[in-house]
Amino acid sequence: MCIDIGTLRAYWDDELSPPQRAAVAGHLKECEACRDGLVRISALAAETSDVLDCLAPGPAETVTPAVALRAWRERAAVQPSLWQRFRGGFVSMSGGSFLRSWRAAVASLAVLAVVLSLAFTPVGSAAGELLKQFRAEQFAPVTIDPSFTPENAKELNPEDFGTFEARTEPTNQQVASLSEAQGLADFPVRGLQSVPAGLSTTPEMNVSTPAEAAFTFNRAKSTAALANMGIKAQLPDELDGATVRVYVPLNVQQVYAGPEGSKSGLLFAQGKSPTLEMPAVLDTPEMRDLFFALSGMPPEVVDQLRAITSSDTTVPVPVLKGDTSRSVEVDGVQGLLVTHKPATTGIEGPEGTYVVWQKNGVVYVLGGTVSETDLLQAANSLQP
Amino acid sequence: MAIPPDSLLLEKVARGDEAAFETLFLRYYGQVYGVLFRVLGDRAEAEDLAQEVFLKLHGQRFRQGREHTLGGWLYRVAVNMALNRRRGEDRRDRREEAVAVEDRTLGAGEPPDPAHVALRNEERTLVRLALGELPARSRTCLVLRQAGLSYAEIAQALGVAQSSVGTLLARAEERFRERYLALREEEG
Repeated sequence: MCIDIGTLRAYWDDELSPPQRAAVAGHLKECEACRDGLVRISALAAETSDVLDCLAPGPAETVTPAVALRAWRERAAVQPSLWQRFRGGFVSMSGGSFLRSWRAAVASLAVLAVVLSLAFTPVGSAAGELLKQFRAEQFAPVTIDPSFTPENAKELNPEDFGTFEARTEPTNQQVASLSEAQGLADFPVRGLQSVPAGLSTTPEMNVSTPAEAAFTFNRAKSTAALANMGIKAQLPDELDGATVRVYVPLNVQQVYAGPEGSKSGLLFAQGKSPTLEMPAVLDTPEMRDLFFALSGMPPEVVDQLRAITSSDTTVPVPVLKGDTSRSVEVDGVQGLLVTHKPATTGIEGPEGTYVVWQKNGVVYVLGGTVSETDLLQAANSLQP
Repeated sequence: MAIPPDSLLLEKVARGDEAAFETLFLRYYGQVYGVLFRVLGDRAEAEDLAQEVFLKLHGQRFRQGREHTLGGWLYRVAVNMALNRRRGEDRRDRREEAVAVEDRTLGAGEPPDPAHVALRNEERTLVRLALGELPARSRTCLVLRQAGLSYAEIAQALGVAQSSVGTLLARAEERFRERYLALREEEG
């Protein structure tokens, strides 16, 4: 056969460009083998289609879009997830479609980090201390099997334990220059001096305003929710009304796009460290064990989390099994470099890398579809 | 009245225009649900994931001034969610699940002709088992085409070049036929 089966298949579906289509039609007139091939392929396509047709939703299985929309509205309204609320926060890399998968990865990472840090109640803080504060000063990799996603633990609905409140919703604002961003920010905004070849040298810039959210426990609700899950727990009285507060300060994002149509690019985000505050009542080994048990996290993840020392300043950074991470010197301090390897993780998406570090109270994230060398060179080119 | 293109609606969504979001929801829900239903075979699960796909869309910010094939993006998200949910089930699990799903479906609706529905469910179980023995990409490719997606949309959903969709489909069909016939033989 002179025309490959893929092209014949596309010809049958009328999915070829007009010139390709004309070329195939011309060839078919001349070539009996290809005509036979087309007959075979089209017969198989029709037969498969007939068989697969039974999978289509029947009348009782069809959902009216308008009804679904109403259900969606209700769900979106009650959806308390940190995910939605903090999208605009320090990791919500707005901009660049090329970073879609990166953005999703980094956003989920941040959410996970916030959720995980709840498990990080440092044991043994001073007895009189009522409030414990967590900041991002360093980063520790936590290896996670890609088949484990937070979705697996979704039976744990925060609303069953208390009330979520988005106190300040972040807004995103495009700015034209670093000095305009500097006018809004309360920390020195820095720019890259060197950008890997092939990327735009004029970044798209965005400023996200601060976000604040709080979660307040309700002891009765929590006890009932646990009982529902078959767990009989004696929760401390002080849990009632205990509030966990998360604050994500203003942050600046710069996106260096690749050539039009390509999925390459680089994103640089900077902002003061997010903070998480919680009352000391949540700071007990018992509460921590309970949280781990409820989170549905695999034991190997729990072990890694427990192994982290100075947990009040260390952000656990989820790293997919198959991706790599290592500690690097960047911008004069220690940072964590993570490289995504689609081939070994089995998670599709562009190969890319990011580095995260903290300096003088500001957290920096730089990532994109570039090599580790190019990334670190860009990071080290930061204006002082 | 002109139909607003996706790109215009997406720009409005980015500015917080909820009406624009609803238009997109109504425009794509049926197809997204259809894809999920075909992959998962369960109405409740498909509805649940379809909602999640649109939650994700709602929080997504697309870059302005670029042409987006929103369909491709939506189906890609939907397919990945569905595959994540199905990951790691071995053949036996799949068989049990396939049967259980059809049993649930049988109990849920009010079929006009129970005998006909039972027959269809038996057929569905068989088709799902055969699909389950194909590599994920082939399986998904077949299902997406069956749900009426264009080659461009399939290519984007699977993350492959549009020019390789024809080959993927043709190979998947051959493989599916082989497995389907073998299973029918086994079942008697």
